[in-house]
Amino acid sequence: MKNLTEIPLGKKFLIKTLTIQNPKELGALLEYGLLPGREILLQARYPSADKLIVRLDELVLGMRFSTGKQVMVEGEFS
Amino acid sequence: MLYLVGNPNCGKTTLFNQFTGLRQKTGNFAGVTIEKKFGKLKFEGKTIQILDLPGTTGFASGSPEQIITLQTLLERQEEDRAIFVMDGTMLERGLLFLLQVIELGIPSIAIVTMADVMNKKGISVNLEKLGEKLKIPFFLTNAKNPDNLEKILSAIFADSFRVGDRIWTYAGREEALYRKLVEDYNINSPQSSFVFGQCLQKSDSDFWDYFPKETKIDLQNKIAGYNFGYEKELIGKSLSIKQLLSSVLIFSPKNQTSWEARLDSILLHPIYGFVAFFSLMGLLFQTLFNWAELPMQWIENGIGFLQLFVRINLPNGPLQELLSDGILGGVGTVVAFVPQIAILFFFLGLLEESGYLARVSFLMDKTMGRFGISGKSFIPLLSSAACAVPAILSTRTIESREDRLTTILVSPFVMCSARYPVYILVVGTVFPGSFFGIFNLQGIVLFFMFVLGILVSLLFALLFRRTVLRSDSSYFLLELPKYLVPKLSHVLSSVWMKVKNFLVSAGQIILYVSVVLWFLSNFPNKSEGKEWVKSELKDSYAREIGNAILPLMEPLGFDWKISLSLLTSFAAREVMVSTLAILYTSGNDDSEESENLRSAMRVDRRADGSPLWSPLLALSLLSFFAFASQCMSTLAVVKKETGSGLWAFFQFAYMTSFAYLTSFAIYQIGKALGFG
Repeated sequence: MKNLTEIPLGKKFLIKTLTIQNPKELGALLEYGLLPGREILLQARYPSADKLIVRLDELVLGMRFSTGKQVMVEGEFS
Repeated sequence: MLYLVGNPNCGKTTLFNQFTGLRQKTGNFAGVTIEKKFGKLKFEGKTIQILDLPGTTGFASGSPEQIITLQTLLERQEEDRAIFVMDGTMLERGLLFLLQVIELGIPSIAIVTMADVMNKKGISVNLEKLGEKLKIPFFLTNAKNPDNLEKILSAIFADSFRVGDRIWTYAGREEALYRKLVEDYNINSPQSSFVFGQCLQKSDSDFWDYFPKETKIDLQNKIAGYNFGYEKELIGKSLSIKQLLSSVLIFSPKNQTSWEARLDSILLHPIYGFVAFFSLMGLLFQTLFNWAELPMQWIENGIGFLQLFVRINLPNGPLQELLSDGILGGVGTVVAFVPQIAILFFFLGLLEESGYLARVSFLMDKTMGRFGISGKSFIPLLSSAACAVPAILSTRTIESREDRLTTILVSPFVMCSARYPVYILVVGTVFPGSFFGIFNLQGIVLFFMFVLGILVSLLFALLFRRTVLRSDSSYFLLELPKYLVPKLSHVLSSVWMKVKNFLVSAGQIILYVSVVLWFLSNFPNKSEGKEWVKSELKDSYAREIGNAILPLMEPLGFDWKISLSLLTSFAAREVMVSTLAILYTSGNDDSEESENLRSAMRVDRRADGSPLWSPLLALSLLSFFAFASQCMSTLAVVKKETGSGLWAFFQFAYMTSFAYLTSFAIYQIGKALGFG
């Protein structure tokens, strides 16, 4: 299990599980397709603002999570 | 009725416009369609009503646009049909939502858009096979240059809509229980399956009310210990979609375009991104003055010609004066600002179409966070630079209630197009044609007013989030759309629609107020005998009204003309310009000298002989205009969106009080320091 922000930039990561405390945030992430079996790629990270740009194939998502509600992911690099 | 359903920014509204010939607003960012939009689809002599629904990724978050879409689909008539639109470059996301729509049991067809982008990226899908698997017909098109439109229309009018199949299953033991319950409780119809699915997801779902109390308790006991959560459902659907796509996706998409990522690394950079954004906005306000100067001159000359024509061809009298000074003078002064407003709309249109707007929202997220709101609030704030009404409607995409309400309350601080004529008139009068190097001073002041509007809106956002609208900080999740080269015809069409709307809606109010103002400033009648003699301005009804409100406005540095103009501007902000035009024209017997409103204002004096239109007065007036709530349409939409007249009243009261106090402080302090 690692924090989504800790995934190295530019490497494709196959999600096995994804957890986050806030059900609304989880629902939104899942609806956008951050689901087990999907490959994501961390395009950019802005540590000072806790912001990420994540790519799922052609879909590019900008994201920041509410304070203390980090996204934990389990998976492997492909 | 035909419903257009799909994800945000998948090309639904562009398709809607192609179908209906209408020109609904489109843009390259999520959340352009936030209201239901009706149109008529005609083909071979037949007509069907079509409804464009707000785009959504699902029904889980309960945001206003999701509720609108879900409720419409649930409350449909039996003969209604759905056209599901999905972006061909994001099939997995589109199919994930399509599977939810299929569960509603509505007969559907699916249209895959972005055929040209798919082609560029090497994505090819066997739509016939996809249609066979899901049991609904699929069509491919390119919404901006539609292919297959005839084929799609034929399918629609031949009623080729079909109810799709539930192709997904819950993982593990949940699926077995689900099937047993569906059989035991005779849940056959698609609607009841959907309701049942929603109940399984949440034990406190409102959908449980559809079941009798005993059945509800019985069912809840049976599903206890099982996981039917939304996550489980989406995972089940996602796995099925993966299997499905593996058999129909002929070529895998190529990797991301590197230039897009490189451009993002600059435009989203915490430093370069801000430099790029503010440079762009600075350039916009410089351009407003430089590019618009010539067309403004043409319009002013044209109106001057019409006034001359009226004076030559009509006999002296009230009708000639009303047409020349009242209607042409009043309305014409505001019409002269159309070129600047059109250039503003053109630039904002380019930002919306290019995909940059969503990126600015992402860029601003941290800054907005410091003021208690998320980057999602920045799109409404920036959109307010055109008009606060659509900007307030666009807050529907903000999930957090407190964030949304805060954004609604502070958006009208941002300089809207209705304020431009006033700012340009005041700035042009007090600071005529000055330059700082290559920069036009008027452009600099306008840019400053824009930044001031944003800053004050953020400060009030912080105040509200710390007091009446406290809540946990919200999350930010936003699709960054593909960069697209804006299509000129789309942008120009959008500019035309907005300018037309400005002329029709504001123009009507300006016309009515101009006629009333002309009457008030030229009467009571001083005629002796047959020849009509207009009243002198100092003896007119207008002066009487101006004098009545003067004690309230004098501490701000305003004379009776400005006070009366401010009063009329509460009907619509632009009315201030036409009011000043009429009052200054009526106040001068020599119409040649007062032809140029700015010149007439510059020579206006206070009782002590000092110029009325000093820089201090300009600052006081500009700040009143920047902060006061003077737009009835905005207040009406705030009432509608918040569901309470109280919030609209609160907005009017706090903004106008703040405007008054700021103007008061600026003028009184300035005067004490000797700037008066």
